[in-house]
Amino acid sequence: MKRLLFLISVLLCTEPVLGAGQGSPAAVHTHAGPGHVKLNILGRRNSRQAGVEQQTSGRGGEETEQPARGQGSSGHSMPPEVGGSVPSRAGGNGKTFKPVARDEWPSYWHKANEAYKAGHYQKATKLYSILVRSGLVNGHLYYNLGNSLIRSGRLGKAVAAYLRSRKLIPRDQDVKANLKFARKSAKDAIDPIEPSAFLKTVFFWHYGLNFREVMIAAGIFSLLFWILMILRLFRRESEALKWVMGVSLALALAFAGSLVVRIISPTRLAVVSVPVVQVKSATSPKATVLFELHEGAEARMEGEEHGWVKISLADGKRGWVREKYMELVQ
Amino acid sequence: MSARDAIASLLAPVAATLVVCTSLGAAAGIKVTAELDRNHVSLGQRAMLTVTVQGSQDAGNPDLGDMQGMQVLSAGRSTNVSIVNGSMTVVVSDRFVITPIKEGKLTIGPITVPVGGTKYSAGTLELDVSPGGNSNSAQGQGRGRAGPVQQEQVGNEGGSPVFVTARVSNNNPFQGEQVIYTFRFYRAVRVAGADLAMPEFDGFVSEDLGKQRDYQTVIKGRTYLVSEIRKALFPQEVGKVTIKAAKLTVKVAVRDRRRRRGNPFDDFFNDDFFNSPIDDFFGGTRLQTKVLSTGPVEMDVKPLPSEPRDFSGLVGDFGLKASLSKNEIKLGDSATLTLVVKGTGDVRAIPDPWRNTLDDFKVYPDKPTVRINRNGSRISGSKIFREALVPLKAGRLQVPRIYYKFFDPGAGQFKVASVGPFDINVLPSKGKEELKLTEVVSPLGGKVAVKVLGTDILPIHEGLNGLESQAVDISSLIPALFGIFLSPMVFLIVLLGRKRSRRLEEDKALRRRKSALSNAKKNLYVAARMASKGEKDKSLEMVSRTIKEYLGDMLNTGGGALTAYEADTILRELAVPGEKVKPVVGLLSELEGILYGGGTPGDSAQDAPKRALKAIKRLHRHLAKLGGKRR
Repeated sequence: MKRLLFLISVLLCTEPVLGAGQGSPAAVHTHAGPGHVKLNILGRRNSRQAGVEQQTSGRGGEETEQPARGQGSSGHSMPPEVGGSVPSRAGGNGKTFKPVARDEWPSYWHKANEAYKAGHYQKATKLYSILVRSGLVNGHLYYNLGNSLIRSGRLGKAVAAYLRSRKLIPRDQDVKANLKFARKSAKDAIDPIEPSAFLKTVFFWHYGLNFREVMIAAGIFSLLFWILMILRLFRRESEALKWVMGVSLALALAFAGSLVVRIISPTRLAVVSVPVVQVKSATSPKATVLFELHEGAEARMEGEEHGWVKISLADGKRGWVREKYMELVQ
Repeated sequence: MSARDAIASLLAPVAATLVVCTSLGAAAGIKVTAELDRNHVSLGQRAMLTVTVQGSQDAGNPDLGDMQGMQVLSAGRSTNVSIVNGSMTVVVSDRFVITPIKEGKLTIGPITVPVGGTKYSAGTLELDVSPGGNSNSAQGQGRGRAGPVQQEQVGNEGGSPVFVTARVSNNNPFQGEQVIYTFRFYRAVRVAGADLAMPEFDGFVSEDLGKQRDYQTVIKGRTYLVSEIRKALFPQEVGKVTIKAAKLTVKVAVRDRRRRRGNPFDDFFNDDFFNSPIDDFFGGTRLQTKVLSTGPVEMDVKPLPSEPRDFSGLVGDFGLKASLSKNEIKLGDSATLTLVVKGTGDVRAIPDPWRNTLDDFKVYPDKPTVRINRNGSRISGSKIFREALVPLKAGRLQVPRIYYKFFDPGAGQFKVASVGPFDINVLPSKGKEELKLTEVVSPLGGKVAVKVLGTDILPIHEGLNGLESQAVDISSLIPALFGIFLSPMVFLIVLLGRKRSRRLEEDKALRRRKSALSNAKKNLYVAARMASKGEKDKSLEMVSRTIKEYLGDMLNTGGGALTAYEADTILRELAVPGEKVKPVVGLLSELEGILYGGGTPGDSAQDAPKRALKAIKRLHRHLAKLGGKRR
């Protein structure tokens, strides 16, 4: 039903396909270590692990947790850097975000670029984020945002921005290069959620085109096929016509298939946006800690429940994480 | 794949076509060669001479020179134009059947071919003719087809209509000596679907030798079509070696006696093969699968005589050529030494050339290039070595002699092929940096991986395309919606419309039914106008005719002669309710009474069209539902 609603929303409204993550986690530092580490599988109840999780029964005795070792609490405010497409309250700081008018977008764009080049990465991040939250959906914007975030030391959010950028401009080599760089900077030695090179080669149109391009291509080739079918009714069938029809049908089916796959089973990724996060066995702070993930780690998002997201890693490990510690790329 | 790549891939065929068109005009470089299919024949046997002109279609007739001691018969000309990777090759081949009439070593040529006013020479060829002894040499050519016909003596298989043979050119070769394995498939009948399983050639290095050859031969007065496949074998082991049998599975057409004699197990070899054209005409043949085997081939491989020092391991006949790109270079520059080892034998096995160590040079060897010629009677070819030599000091330096020691099986002894030594005058360098490679030998093997000194992200994108919305909006949805959802519907509508119009074209009754009501309406409108003008009789007649024609159209009958009684009967047969039949039939009856019974029109003429239309409309609803069910 959700997918049907999504399909209808895609067909009837101009809502961007890519949504940014919800909520803003506490301000964090990124680690700088380039070396990868093996995942630490805890597999046992570990609620008192030093520095990782603290018990603060501030809300009706419910156990809460802190995302990072020694960092600020989750209630801290955060600049509205990677907002969603729908304007909302900015990171819980109480201020209502006011979208920037379309006429002002070029001015913000130039200011953001200038700030980046001058080395004012925080400012650039803020300006790019304003454009994102004002409704501008563009792969180059997400790419620049990723750059400013990674320069600001926010690796997780940068990875998420590059992933969003890649969805919109999948053939851009700069995006691929910077995403690769960001992934290398991540601490956890886990494979990113990526299709195999074989799949990428065989279904190159699926992985090499964005949603909009696939949709247009599917429409054009389908239209061509049906026009030829109509033509076939009125004129004698020739070998050339048969070939063109066959090719256009094959292309239409290929693109339509890609479209269906994207709609039926979209790849929903979650990137850790805080230095360390605990992955638990259930949607409860008291649940067993299964393993830890570090900032920039990518996982597949399998479900959501009461502010928790169910994630799975490329090697099959599964668990629940607080949604606010993850940057969702849907 | 980027959009640029996609466009490039779409344009690639166009570009390729342009390249082909360009190279069609640019084909140049004429080469004339002559080749005999065999160098040794017996008296009575024939050899095939092929003179090939490559690079021009305007070749004249070859001049074979003074052909003493042999008869020559032209076997035709063939032209082959091939385009590979955009380059066109034109090959014109003239074939001649050479029949020696005396024994000894006969010389063919010098062979010349005039091409565009210039004579090109293919040199001379030698044919060794031994005293023959084939009793059938003068017979059996009566059924020969176009093409060369040879006389052969084959073992016991000679009498069979299909058989295979396998021979080696030398049953007692030296280790590593080239031996030609020849498989032949003889058939005097029609065959189909031949599938050859060659033996494994264990203990040999094997190379394909030329393409399959097809020719005709006469054995014991019977003409056979022969397919010949050759392989060059290089024995690797000493002692007795057996090449296993080659097996050929083939479908042979045999006369089908089952229909006539009812015996499906006729012995194949007892069948009569197409000797009767009547059988062919009436198609009294069937295909029978046969597996033909050559039998094993035994060989006794001799070891090489005691090998000398520095023996290269090569067996065959080889020559060595070398050239140096520069004899005088500056210190730090390089010169290229090119070595060409050419000959007959296992070319692939040619090892690196042997020489003393080059202390005065730094050597950058290139990957050797191997060229194999499979078109002759034996495998021959060349292996080319290139080395970039960079002198390490100034002065007069020497590249020492380079040589190969190989075994020539023809002469039965070891031989040496050598070149050099070469002198290089190395001038002192003016600059400080002495060692630099200025001459590129492509591709050199001395490349090193790029060392990554640091990593960083790539810069931001500053173009204004960063402000273009890439959200899925209505502009991208229109073609998708139309293409995916609406165009099939449009197709369906067009299809149904076309089907309907075709049906109407083909079904006259349907066409009448479909137009019945509209025709009636038009006619009744005319009748009403007549009545209003005072033409009562005409109006009533028009109404009567309209009702009859309507009924005729709906019931697919001749409506003009329909009476009220007949109409009533037909409509009741079709189970039309009485209240719908009555107004029509009643009006028709009334009109008949006025028109043909001498009644007066009175006021009925005024409202007759209106009544008729009302009655027809009521009736039409029912008749339309009946559709094609009525008679």
